[in-house]
Amino acid sequence: MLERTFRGLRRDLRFFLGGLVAEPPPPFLVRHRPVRPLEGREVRVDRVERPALDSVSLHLVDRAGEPLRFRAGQFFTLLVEVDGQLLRRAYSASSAPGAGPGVEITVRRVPGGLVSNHLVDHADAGQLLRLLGPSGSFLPPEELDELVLIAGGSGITPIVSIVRDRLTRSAERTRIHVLYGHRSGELAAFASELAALAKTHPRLGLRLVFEQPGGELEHAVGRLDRATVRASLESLGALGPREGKKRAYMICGPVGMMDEVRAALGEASVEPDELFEERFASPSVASVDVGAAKEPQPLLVRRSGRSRALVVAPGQTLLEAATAAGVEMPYSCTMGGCGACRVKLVEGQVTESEPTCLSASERASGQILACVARPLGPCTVEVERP
Amino acid sequence: MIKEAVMGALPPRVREQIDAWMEAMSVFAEIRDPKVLASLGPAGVRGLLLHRGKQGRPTEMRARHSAHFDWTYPSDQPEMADLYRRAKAGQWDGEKDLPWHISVDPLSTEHRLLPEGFFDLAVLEEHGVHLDAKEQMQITHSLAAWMLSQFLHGEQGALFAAAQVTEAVQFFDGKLYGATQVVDEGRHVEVFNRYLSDKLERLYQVNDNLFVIIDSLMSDGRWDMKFLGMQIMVEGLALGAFGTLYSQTREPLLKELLRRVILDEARHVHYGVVALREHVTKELSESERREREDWAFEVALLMRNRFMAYEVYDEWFAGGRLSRAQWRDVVERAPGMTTFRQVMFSRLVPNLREIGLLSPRILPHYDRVGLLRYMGEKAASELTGEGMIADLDRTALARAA
Ligand code: FES
Ligand SMILES: [Fe+2]
Ligand SMILES: [Fe+2]
Repeated sequence: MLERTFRGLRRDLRFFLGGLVAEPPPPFLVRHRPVRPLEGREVRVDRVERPALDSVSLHLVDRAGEPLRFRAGQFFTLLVEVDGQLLRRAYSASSAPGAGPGVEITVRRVPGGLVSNHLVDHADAGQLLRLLGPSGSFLPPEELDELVLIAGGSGITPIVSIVRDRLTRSAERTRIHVLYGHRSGELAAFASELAALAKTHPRLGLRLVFEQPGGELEHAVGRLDRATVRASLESLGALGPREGKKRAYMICGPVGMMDEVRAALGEASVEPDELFEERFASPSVASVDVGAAKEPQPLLVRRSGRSRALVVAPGQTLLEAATAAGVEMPYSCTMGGCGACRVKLVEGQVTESEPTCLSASERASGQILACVARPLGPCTVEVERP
Repeated sequence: MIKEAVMGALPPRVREQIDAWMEAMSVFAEIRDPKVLASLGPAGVRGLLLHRGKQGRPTEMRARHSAHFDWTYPSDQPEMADLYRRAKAGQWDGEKDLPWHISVDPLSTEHRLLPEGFFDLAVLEEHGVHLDAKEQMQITHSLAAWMLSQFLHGEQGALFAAAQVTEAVQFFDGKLYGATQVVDEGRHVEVFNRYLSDKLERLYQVNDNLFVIIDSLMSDGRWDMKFLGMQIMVEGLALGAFGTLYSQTREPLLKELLRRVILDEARHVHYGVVALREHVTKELSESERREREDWAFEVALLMRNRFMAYEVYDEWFAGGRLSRAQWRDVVERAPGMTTFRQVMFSRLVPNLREIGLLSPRILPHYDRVGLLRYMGEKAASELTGEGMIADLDRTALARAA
């Protein structure tokens, strides 16, 4: 007691004498924003480029100066405010990992797309955005003799990242073939860069197929249908007998084109485990609360033998409710695109904003994506993965 | 002259310390009423001389009021009952109802936290300090964060004062209403705190003068003094300050935050006016009334003259770049601060009039310090929060036009 008083008096005296005896107290304390995971990290648009008509590349850097780590082929989820609404969209990195402190993502105008139009028209250096991720498993195997990359339209972005990344590895021998289809040379982002790279790097082969003739780049005229894909790959030498070589085929593009490519590769007896696909479907805003409960719903989250009871507010996803309540759940893209937030629905029913990346067999076994699932009634889920 | 010569020979830190002591002394010397001195004095020593708010540790303040129980639950204050009803309907959620996803760049020129020209750079140049464009933005960031930090500290005081007053007040309808105010103040602490840590990433220390006022209210046993201090003086001034910042800021999240807080605060001040009017006119003796009248005047002065943002000075100019006297000059002549001082009092003075603490005997004093021109404004009991916001929007529009 006495000692406490004495210490208090000493402190008082020190502060009374202030600048005469000691450093003054700091005028302010630095506060750190607590981690609110679903909001992602804050990034600044460092530089903007327009690699083609109707496309924009944003060079993003972390605002706090942290490096942005990712692997070639992965995507980020961008949180963009358009007309007072916070929207999420997935965009692949187009830069090579480690090529700078940040990441380049490339956005192509989608007719009627809220976010893409907003970004293509208004993106500017200095803007602040929020970013989640990286996510995705569209990753080429490391040890390969041949890497065949097939892109349609804006599906070129992860492919460019992979090409740029691979070509910087000077000791690598992997042959890279790129088949890239688009409507016209004007719209085809990165086409001229790829053409230039093919000239200087003998291990890169390139085939461009545009629907419209003309333009400065050498290209075939047509679309990536089954026959064209086959013929182009053959002329690149990317379809012949394997002869013990390790090969991977990676496809990214619109659904129709992917179907054609898959068929062409099937005919050429490419094995399923040689095939890697990335499919992009941005969730439509309208599908957000189809049928979701209008009342708060109880949710039980089970994880390694323990359970936590919480409440999902109307409109909230399971993931949002859990993170808000401090229950940790795995996740990455938060928009149904990466599967990181997979949980098993043990009891109850949910509605999910489609499309999602769940496979038919995952669905059949009762898996749901917590980031896009909203309860229809009381639910219990089990987090199975670490 | 001699004084200046001696001061000039001292190292800057020592000079600054001496200036701080002299300023504290002048605060005490200015208080004319011994009763007021007795009530503000001890708090003044703790705040101005011992800097208890800045010692880097929690502060314990002993409360001396008593809780007033009434086992008959009378309901005889219809105006308070009505406020209670409106308060229940006006609740909002600081987490969900504000657009927290908006990124705030304190250095942005597009969404300025404070308007351009808040400081008069010419005055700084007069004192030999030149700030480049970047520094100008940075000092504005400091000032905005300082102001919001003081709001936050004030809200903490309001939270505890509201709780104490709820215990101590004798009106039962007032107690129920008070419960909602406690929730409101908790929410204000929540949102200001979140804004400072998430968006501005710093928290300034509590200003010594604000500390003095809070300390003296907390330790005063009379509920009506707590009430007068918190609901009328601090809240009234805060309401004015929130309003000014609301109409001046270009940062959308802050604007919405302030709009919400203003709607709550308008109710609080209204309640303060209703409760005190009742008490001052019916319960207090003339000498008790006079003491409160004097106290209010002294506190008003303390708030008007002494909020010098020394915390910002310490950050930027201490150690010789500017003297404290020069800094006072800069702050006093800053156009932004002038607006604040004016608008703050335009809300306070009419409320004091309404509760009967502006009798003819004190008017000359208010007149002397130039505060009488606000006599004709509306008191909180004649205003709604919505009306206040509409007013602010109108003046902001008029200024923009
Ligand atoms: S977090 Fe990516 S699918 Fe849910
Ligand atoms: Fe408040
Ligand atoms: Fe209040």
